[in-house]
Amino acid sequence: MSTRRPYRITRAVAEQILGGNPVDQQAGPDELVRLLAAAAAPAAPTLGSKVTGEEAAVAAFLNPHLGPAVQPRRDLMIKTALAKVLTVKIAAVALAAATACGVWLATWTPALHGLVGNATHTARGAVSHAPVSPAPMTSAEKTAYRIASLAGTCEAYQTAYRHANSAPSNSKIRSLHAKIAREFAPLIAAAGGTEPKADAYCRGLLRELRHRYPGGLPSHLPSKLPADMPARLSAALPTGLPTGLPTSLPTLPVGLPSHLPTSPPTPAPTILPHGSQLPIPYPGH
Amino acid sequence: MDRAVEPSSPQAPRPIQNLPDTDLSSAVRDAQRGDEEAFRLLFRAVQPRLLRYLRGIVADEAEDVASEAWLQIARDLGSFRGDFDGFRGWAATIARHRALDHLRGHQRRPASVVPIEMLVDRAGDEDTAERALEAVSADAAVALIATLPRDQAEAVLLRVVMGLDAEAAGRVLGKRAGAVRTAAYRGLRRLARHLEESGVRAGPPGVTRTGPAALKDTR
Repeated sequence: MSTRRPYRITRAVAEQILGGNPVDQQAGPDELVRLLAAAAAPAAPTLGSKVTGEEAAVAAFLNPHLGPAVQPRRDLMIKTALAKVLTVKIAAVALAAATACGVWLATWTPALHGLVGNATHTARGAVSHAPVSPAPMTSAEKTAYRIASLAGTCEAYQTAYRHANSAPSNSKIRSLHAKIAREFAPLIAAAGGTEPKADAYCRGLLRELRHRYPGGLPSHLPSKLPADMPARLSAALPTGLPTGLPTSLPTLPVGLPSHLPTSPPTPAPTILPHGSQLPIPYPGH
Repeated sequence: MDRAVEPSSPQAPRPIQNLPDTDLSSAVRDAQRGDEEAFRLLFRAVQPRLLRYLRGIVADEAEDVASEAWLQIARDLGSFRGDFDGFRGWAATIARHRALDHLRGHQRRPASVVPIEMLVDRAGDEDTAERALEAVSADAAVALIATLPRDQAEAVLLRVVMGLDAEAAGRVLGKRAGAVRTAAYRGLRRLARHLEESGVRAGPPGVTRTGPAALKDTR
């Protein structure tokens, strides 16, 4: 017959157990001690042995800025984490740009599809919808900002999309796609409402950008976000973001054209109504 | 605990938990100067505990959350001030914030899987089962602890799994040490009652037994 009385564990005994001090079996419930011992016994790593996620963490340590280039592809866990971080940061910039300019991401599509074929038009439209414009930007800057934002969003989307499709389990795949659907909802909606369409849209967009701007994206980008961006950003961001907003725009290649084209490309793109299906691939590509 | 981490032979690799605090504290300083190997050492020393603590909060998402935490740890390591004990608490704080972000985003609680049968099955075997109990049923034990109210579960996990004292755990949780002690005490009482009602019994009685938080002593 047991003499243990675990219901009457005292504070002193609890502290003994929690503090790892020897416990008199008559005073302490042995099974509880065993339970906690089991919980406290991690698979002890040894010197020279690697722990799950180690390479990812080391990559982050070696490059605290965490560019995509440092992602060890063989480590799915870090791909998940990096995809999240990059996705969120770049999407945050995109959403911030959309909010500040008073335009929904989807409404960028015509101008972006035509690659700022009519910068004046888009700038005027943006200003007319903007509730506040604390940091006026030139038309070229605004348009370039939108292009960079959407390009960044597309790159982040593609990273997340590929990662989701290569997740190791069905539950993980579902979970990641649900996250994508939440965080890239505007992009997906603009591209036709489904993730594959968004993927195809982004492929086309990035291909077009690379073709038209082989030296990199236009450089007329503001050096920092407008002053009221952070407050707006916090309201516009999707849930579940890591703390800390992006402090700079996505890195863009150097050697960019100094000005964006001011006339429509040839052939001139059709301005699509909001939510329309995008013609993919782009003309001539 | 001591038994579980001691090398079984002179040739066995040296468990990191057996490294003295001074080694790991110097690893903190070296890592802050950019020493990759020192960072690896810290990672290996902390990550297993961190993962287990996170499993008690976010269950299956623990690895992802831990990854996010380490990204931040790696990024902010230069701004950290303190020794290894402090580093462990600092890492736990970051991991906890990431876990709570995750929960807020998903409104998810850990899966309330209570495989208490695993404990029943393994308790009461011969002595060698001790190691198996610790190695195999750790997740079950954490899952059981995770069924406690969150404040109690976290207090227990931080103290037992992360090996933090009440003051350090209080800093992680943003509470006073007394509140942590109370929460942990209530958690232990509830766990003991649960075990009692489930009929879990330990193996052959010993005279005394070393408590679980010996992590602190065996590092």
